Amino acid sequence: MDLISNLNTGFGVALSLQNLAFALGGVFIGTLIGVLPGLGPVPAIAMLLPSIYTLDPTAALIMLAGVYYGAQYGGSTTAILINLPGESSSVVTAIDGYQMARQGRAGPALAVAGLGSFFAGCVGTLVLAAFAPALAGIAFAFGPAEYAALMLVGIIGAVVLASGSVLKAIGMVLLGLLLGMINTDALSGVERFTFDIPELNDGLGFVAVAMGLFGFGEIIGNLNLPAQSREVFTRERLKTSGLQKMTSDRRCQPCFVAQRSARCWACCRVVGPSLRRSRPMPWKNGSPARLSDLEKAPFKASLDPRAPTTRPHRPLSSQC
Amino acid sequence: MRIKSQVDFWSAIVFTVVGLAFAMGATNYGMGTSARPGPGYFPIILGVLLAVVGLFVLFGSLGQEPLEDDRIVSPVWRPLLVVVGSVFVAGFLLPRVGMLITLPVVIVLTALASSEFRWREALSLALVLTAGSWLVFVFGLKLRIPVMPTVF
Repeated sequence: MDLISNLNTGFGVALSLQNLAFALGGVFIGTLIGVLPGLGPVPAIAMLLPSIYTLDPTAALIMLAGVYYGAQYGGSTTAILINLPGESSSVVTAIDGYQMARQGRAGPALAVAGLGSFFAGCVGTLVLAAFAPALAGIAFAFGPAEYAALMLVGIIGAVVLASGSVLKAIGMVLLGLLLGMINTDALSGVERFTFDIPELNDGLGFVAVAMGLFGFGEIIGNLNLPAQSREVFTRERLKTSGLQKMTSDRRCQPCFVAQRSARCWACCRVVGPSLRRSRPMPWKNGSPARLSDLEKAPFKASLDPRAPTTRPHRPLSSQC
Repeated sequence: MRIKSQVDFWSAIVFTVVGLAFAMGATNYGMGTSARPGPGYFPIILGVLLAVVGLFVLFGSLGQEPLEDDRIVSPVWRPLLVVVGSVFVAGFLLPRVGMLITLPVVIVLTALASSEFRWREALSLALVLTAGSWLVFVFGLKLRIPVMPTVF
């Protein structure tokens, strides 16, 4: 088998300790950059290009691949935790992942996103390696008609997959297409709807639209509610693992225990949205008396299907 | 005729108004023909379609029995205006006076959106976030963001 022997050669080169270390470093830096909203794989690679000039080509390519995949995964972190999709690829993650975070399952959501990235990356690379020559022929055959058909499939898919009213889904698709009309017309070069603002000649940035719709809508919707009924994330239980434990325990315990307003504010406004929770508390008047009370808290995620983002489940305490 | 679903009613209004606005704005651009579409071809058709969809949603939202679930509580204007306005302020200030002045101003301004605003918290948050942003974006990633006012 040609494929197997080629892969064998590739792994023989890539699987040295040094190259794996470069891959690890690349993924680490890439994830860090990818977490920042608006900075995706392409800017991450562009920023790190100068720093790899001195490496030998194999190590440099491996590191850049790590940066690429790390940055692609990193965008899902903010999408899940604060409903801010940093890249176009993480918008879908925001839809499901944020709902999981609202039910106190941010950790599993992050893990699923990571495992999903890993699996899809492996399968995708394997498929590419196996079928690249054949796929290249198909790609050459793709003309304007095929691309138009593909877009139509995507749009119909968006309408079919949308939950709720089909008519409103069609309306939102049309609205999105209309927002895409703000640009320079590709055929005639006429600037459409730009109001003589040069920045609009290239069209609206996807990240700007996504942040406005997802992130700002969430923030404003939350501030609209009185403090008592505002939804606040906390951790689901004390003994959890990984990232959730790290973020939840240290930052939100002071909020519960000390009820210090400044910390509470930081907890709820800054890191809070990542750790909101929607589960009835066993203690009275909002805050547990001791830390041990927290551990006894029953974990009961609300699976109320009628719990949209704008409707809070339950007040946590008067301060948070 | 009464409004059955306020959510649907207002989204219908938004659809119709936006669709018509795009369609009317695009009438200046030249329609062209279907075989050779002009710059206004797609905006006009899409805008009219959106307006039609909006009208359908509008009819669907009317009825005798008001749905309690679809009521819109009256919006609280302060967060809405302050959060959106602070984005405008950021866009206006950043190229002119640089990051080190813009960020604290915008952060304090945004904190004003909350009814539990406290100066000490807002200022310390502004300090931490500005220092952090400078460290990450300017010092760490070397992004080309204006840091100080250019007059100096």
